[in-house]
Amino acid sequence: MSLLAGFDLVTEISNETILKLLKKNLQIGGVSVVPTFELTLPISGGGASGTAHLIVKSLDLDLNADDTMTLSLGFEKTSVNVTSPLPLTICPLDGTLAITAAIILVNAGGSNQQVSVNMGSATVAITYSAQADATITQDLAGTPVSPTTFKSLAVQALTSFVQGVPSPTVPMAFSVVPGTDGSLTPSLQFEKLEVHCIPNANRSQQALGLFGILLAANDSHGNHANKTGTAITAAHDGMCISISPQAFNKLVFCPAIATALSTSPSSLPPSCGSNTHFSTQGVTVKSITDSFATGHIDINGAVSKSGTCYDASGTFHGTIIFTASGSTLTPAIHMDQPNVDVSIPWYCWLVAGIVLGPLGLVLAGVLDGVANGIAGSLAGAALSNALGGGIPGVSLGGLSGASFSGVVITTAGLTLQGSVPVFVSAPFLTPEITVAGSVTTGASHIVSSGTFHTQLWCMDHAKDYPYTEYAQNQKGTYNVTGQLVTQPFTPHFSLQVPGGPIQPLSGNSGTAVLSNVECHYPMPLATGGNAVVQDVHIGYFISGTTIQLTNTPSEGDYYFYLNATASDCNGNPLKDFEGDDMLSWAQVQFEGDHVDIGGDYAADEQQCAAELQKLLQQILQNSKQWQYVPTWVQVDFPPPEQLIQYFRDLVSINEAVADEILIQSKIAHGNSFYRAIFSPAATQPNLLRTNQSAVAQSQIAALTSQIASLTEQLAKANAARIATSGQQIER
Amino acid sequence: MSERKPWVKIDSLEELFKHEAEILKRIEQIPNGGNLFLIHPFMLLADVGVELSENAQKQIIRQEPHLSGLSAVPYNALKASKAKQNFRVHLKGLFERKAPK
Repeated sequence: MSLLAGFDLVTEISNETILKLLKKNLQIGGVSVVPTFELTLPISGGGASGTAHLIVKSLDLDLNADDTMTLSLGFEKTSVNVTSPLPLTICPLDGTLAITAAIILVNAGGSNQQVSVNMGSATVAITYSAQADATITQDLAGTPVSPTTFKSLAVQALTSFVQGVPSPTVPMAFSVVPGTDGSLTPSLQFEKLEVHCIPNANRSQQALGLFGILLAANDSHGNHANKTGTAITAAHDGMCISISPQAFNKLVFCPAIATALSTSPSSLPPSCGSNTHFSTQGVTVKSITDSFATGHIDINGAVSKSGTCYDASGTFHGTIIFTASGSTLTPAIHMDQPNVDVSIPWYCWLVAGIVLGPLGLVLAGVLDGVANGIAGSLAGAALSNALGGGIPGVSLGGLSGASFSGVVITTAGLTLQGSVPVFVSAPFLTPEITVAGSVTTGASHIVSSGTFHTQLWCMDHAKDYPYTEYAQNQKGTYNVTGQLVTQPFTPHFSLQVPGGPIQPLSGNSGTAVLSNVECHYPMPLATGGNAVVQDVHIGYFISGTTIQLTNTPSEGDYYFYLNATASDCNGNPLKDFEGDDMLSWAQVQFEGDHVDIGGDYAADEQQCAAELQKLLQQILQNSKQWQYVPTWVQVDFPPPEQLIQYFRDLVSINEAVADEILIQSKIAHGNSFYRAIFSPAATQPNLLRTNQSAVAQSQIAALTSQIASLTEQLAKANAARIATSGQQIER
Repeated sequence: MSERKPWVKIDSLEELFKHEAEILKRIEQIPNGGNLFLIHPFMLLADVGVELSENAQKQIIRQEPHLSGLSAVPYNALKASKAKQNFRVHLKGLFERKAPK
C-alpha cells in the first residue's frame, strides 16, 4: 500500500469524523440529520403528489471508491400519504434510504477550494424490508397503482427532493495556487489538490483523503488509486497527515536549518541550496541531507574544520525521532560521533582537543535547532492547516481541537497520527403523542349582580363592592401531535373525572355525560363560594387530530381529563418504547360560573395583602430558621404552582389565622384559585410535607405568639365582616 | 606492525628530521599510526624501530613541552583495538621545525 500515492501531502479523515461533520452540517428538509429524527418530505413526480413522513433511526456513511459518499438512513414507522391523483396512505414502512452524492472541491473564493458534497446530482435508492414490501402490496391492492410503480415514484420523488437539499458546508478549505511552489507553514498552500475516498469494505477503515501537491515540479505526480488503504490508526475520531520525504526536505527540513542558522535555504549547501558550504561556530558544513528511515529521520552531512596545525574533514550522522502528545511534538536527537580524517603537519597537540568531542557538539547543536524547527513547524500549524482550518474567513467548524497521538516515520513518509473530535449534540427524543390546547370563553352573559358589603381585615370600616356574576360558554380546543410516530395517525379520545371511569368518545361529535363531578361556584361571596357534586354535560366535535369540547355554563366550574390514544393508517395502536399503547392527557377546566368584584375591591385587597406581607415578613425576620412563611402572591394571574404553594404554606402554619387569610386569598384570586386547586401542582403533596418538616419544634412556641397577635387583628376584622356581609341581589 | 629491533638510532632532533620521510612511511603502515603518534610519539617511534637517545628525547620534549604526561594505557588500548576509529590522523610530519632558541 502506498502511503502518499505520489502526492506531497495527504490528509486522511476517518469515516466516523466525516459522518459527525455531516450530522453537524447537513440538514434535510430543515432537519439536522442526527438520529433519531423525523422528516416530512413533499412528494411530487410521476403525476402524483403528497407527503412522505420518515422516522430515521440510524445514519451510516460509506465512502465509495468512485469518490462518492452514501448516506444510509435507516427508517421505520414511515408513511407515504398520496393526495393526488387519488388519496392513498401506505404505512408503516421500514427500510433504508441511501443517498449517494459526489464529494468534490468547490471554489470558495479567490484561490480557495472547499470540500463539499454535490447534492444537486445525488441519487437515491430505497430498500424496503420484507414486511414493508408486504404492506405496500396490501395497501395498494385494489388501486390502479402497482407496487413497482409506487416504488419507482417514491425514488423519483425523493431524488427530486434530495437534489434540492442545500449542500452541507464541510468546514475544510484550502488555498490552491497552480504552478507555484506551495507552503506548509505559516499557511498551507497547495499547488494542486484532489479529494478522494479511501474505500474499504469495513466502514471503520474508510477515510476521506485530501491528496495535495505542494511542489510545482511535482504537478504531474500522484495517482490516488495507488493508495489502497488508510493510514489512520486511531480507533475513534481518527485523522492523519502524511508528508513525502521530498516535500519534507524542501518545506520543513531546509527552512528549519535556514532558521536555525539565520540564513535562507538557498544559501545552504546541498541538499537545501546550491552553496558550497555554510559555517557555524567554527565548523564548515559542506552538505546536509535528510532521509526517512523506519522510525526516525536520518541526517547525514559532510563537515570540515581547520586550525593552525590541522585540517579536519569528515562526515556526520544523526537521527531525529519525535514523540507526540496533544498539540506538542517533542524531538529527540541522537548524534553519532563525526567520522573525521585529520591531517596534521607535525605533532599537533591541539587537534585531539578540538576535533574529538567539540566538533560533534557543534553539529549536535545545529541538529537540535533543526529538529526543534521541524517539530515547531509541523506541530504549530500543519495540523490545523491540513484539516482545512488555515483559510481566513472560512469557519473551522467542527474540525478544531485536533491533537497528536503519535508520529510514524517510514521511508515512504512522515505521518502525524491524531484525532479530531467533533461534538454532535443528539437530542433525546422518544416516540410519543401529546395533547395540548386551551379553553376560551365564547358567549358570556350576566346572570346576577349586586353589592358585596364587607370589611376587609385590614380596613377600618366596611365597604360596598359591586359584583357581577356571569354564565360563560366555554370551548376547549385540543390537538394531538405525534413525535417519532407514524403519520398520519388517528387519535382516539376519552374523558375521565379523577378516580372515575374512562369514558370513550364515540363518533366525531356528541355529548358526553360525566357523573359525580365536583363543581364549584363562586357564590356566595362571603364564604368564598360552594361546591356541588353533579353530572356534567360536555359537547365534543372531532376533526382530524383536533377535538373541541364545550361546557354547560350552569354546571359551574369543574375539571376533567381529556385522554388520547392513537392508531396508524392500518388501525394498529401506536406503541411507545416499551410496547405499550401511547397515551397522553390534558386537564381541561371549565369555568361556567364567574364573578367579578368591582369598585375598590381589588385595590383594597392589595392593600391588605401588602400589610399581611409586612406581618409575615416580620415573622420571618424574628425567626430566621422559619423558611416557609407564606409569601403573598400578587393577584395577577399567577402560575398555579406558585399559588398552590402559597396556599400550602398557609395551611402548614396550622393556625386559625391561616384559614382567614386563605378565604381572603381565595376571594381575591377568584378564578386563579380554582386554576390552582385543579392544577397538577395541587396533587404534589411533597411541598406540604417539606414545609411541615422544615419547621423545628422549638420554633413553634415563638411563632405561635406572633401569629396569635396576627390572629387577633384578623378576628376583629372577620367579626365585623360577618356582621355586615353580603346583600346580594339575584336577577 | 611492530618493529622491535631498531633500524635506526637517533641522537638528535636534526637526525630525526633526516629520517622523517622513512619514519612517516613506516608509521603510515601501522594501523591507526597517526592516532598512536598523537597519543605517545616515543612509544610509536620505538614500535617503528626508531631508537631515540636520551639526548634526542630531551631535545624533542624541549621543543614540544606538551609531550609530558604521556601514558602507555591509551596507546596500548588503541594498538590492540581492531575497530575503525571515528577520528583518523594522517601525519605529514613528525615535529615542527623551529629555529634554535
